[in-house]
Amino acid sequence: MNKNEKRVNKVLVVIGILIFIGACKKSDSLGSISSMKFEKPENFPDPVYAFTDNFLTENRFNLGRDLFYSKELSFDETISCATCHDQIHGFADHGVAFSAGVDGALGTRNSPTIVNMAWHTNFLWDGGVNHLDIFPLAPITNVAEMKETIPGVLAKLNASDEWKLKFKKAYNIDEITDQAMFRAMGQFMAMMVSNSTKYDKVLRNEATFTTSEAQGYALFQSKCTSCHAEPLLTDISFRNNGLDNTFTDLGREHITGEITDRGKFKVPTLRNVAQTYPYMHDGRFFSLAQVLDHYSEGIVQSPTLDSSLSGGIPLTAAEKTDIISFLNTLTDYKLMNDQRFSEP
Amino acid sequence: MKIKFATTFLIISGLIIFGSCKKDDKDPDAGGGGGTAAPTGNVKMHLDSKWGISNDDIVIGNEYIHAMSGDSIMLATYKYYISNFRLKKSDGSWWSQPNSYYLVNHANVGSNVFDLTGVPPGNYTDISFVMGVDSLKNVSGAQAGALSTANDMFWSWSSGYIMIKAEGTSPQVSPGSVFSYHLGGFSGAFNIVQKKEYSFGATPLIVTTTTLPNIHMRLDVEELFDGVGSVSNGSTSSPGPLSLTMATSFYNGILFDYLTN
Repeated sequence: MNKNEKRVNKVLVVIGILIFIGACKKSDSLGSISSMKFEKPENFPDPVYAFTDNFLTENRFNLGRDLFYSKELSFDETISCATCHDQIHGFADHGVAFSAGVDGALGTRNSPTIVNMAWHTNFLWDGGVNHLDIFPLAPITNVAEMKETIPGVLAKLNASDEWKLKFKKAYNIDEITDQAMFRAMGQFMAMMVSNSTKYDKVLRNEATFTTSEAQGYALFQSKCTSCHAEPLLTDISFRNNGLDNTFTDLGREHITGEITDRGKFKVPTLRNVAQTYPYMHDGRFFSLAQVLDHYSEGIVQSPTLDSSLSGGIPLTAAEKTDIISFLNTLTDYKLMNDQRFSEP
Repeated sequence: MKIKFATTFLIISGLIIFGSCKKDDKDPDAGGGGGTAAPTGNVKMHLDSKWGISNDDIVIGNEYIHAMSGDSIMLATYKYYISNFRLKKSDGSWWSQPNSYYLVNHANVGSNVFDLTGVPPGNYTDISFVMGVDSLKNVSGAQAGALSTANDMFWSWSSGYIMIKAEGTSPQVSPGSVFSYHLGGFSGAFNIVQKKEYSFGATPLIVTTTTLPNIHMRLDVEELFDGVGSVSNGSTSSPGPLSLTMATSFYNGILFDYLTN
């Protein structure tokens, strides 16, 4: 074999390898190779959301973010998901009991934070929605929220070359479908992982509680974690926490039709709790002090009241102060400033 | 010689690229059809909805009198899901249509007639299908095609498919004259998903690669309203006893009518 032959041979092999790498890199425009990863915090359980049939890519995530911040999802283009799930308010609404929808219509339940949704098996205060991807259907079509129809949204998106290009890049489709829209939004929401609070850092030995926070945490562990289970700070169950004995909102019963579920609502996470006032499903308490007063002295008896609350949770004034100190360590400033989740 | 080897390498790497990167385009919910290379045939399904013993196809906007209740019923919406079509070969084996979901919407003329594609040639003796949408598709997030939420057949507030939707007007409904039945439920005591199976009788369905045989099923819309007694008894928009009673009554009225080869 002569030298030239050898060189040509080598060059061809190198070209072959380059084409191989290049071509598969190309599918990056569809997003198959992704620098994006869903990272489960070590002390968290396995997530429920699995990115099945919807593998995570940057293009899809970014599309989900664009949709999350798009007012085109609402009938008169005045409201986006972020209107009621605002990053600077811990992805909840800005201090209102009921969020204003299209035409100023008010809903009947408080807009909750939407962090760590990848661990949830159900959504809404009554758990009526069974999959994160399909969740946005509820606010989009609710007449007191975005008041839009799915064909209406799809018509708007399909009329836009900009949106069509984004969907093409993310899902390689020419006609925008609700399935692609929901899956992109599902990815975006599933990626909102909160594990950078001071509380998390203490668990990882990266920070230490103050004396009051430490005392509050000890009290919290002995009195609150049977519902607000660590580390998600919710056990994702439905409970009647003693707010009423007549129920204008039937809660979980609305979904199951079971009278034993009357007045039960999903236990909310306490992550970002200091930022997500007012509290309870109907936003009736405006401060954490009021919430603790309720559990300590204000429990209302009713047939479906959670057994753990039948005697209330008696707390001294000093204990309440310490618990509030601890609750203030649950704010995830990193997530609230994470540019990946900010308005594009 | 070595150059030849390198050229081969180039071609092979090209083929690998083609194969591996093709994967990205794969849509798990893409339309049905057989996956085998062997030639297949098609079968035309006709879901003929009638009112009682009448042989006329149901017409949206026509007035029908319910024989039992005496209600005068005018339908504005009549939609239902049918899924998971299977055909039984004369050797006893079953062919199952992949991704087999259909929304029949009588506001869209012709949606009750469609082709089952990719059927292997042979003689078939039985048909089975599912009325409604199987539970898995009710809990797996956003779906495409017939199962898209754009069809307005998925409950936003309590996840699950509306498997039968019948809306319209009747002077018997007071006040307002409007009735609305959104029937569904995929689990528990009020599950309305029902598998149906019918024998073709003496004449088998003959599937070939060149012909288009027809299967006619007969559905009786009047029987849907048997389940509610009278439309004056009220509407429903959730899974529950009324949903189950109406759906069961409707499904019991489905018959194999005839086939042509």
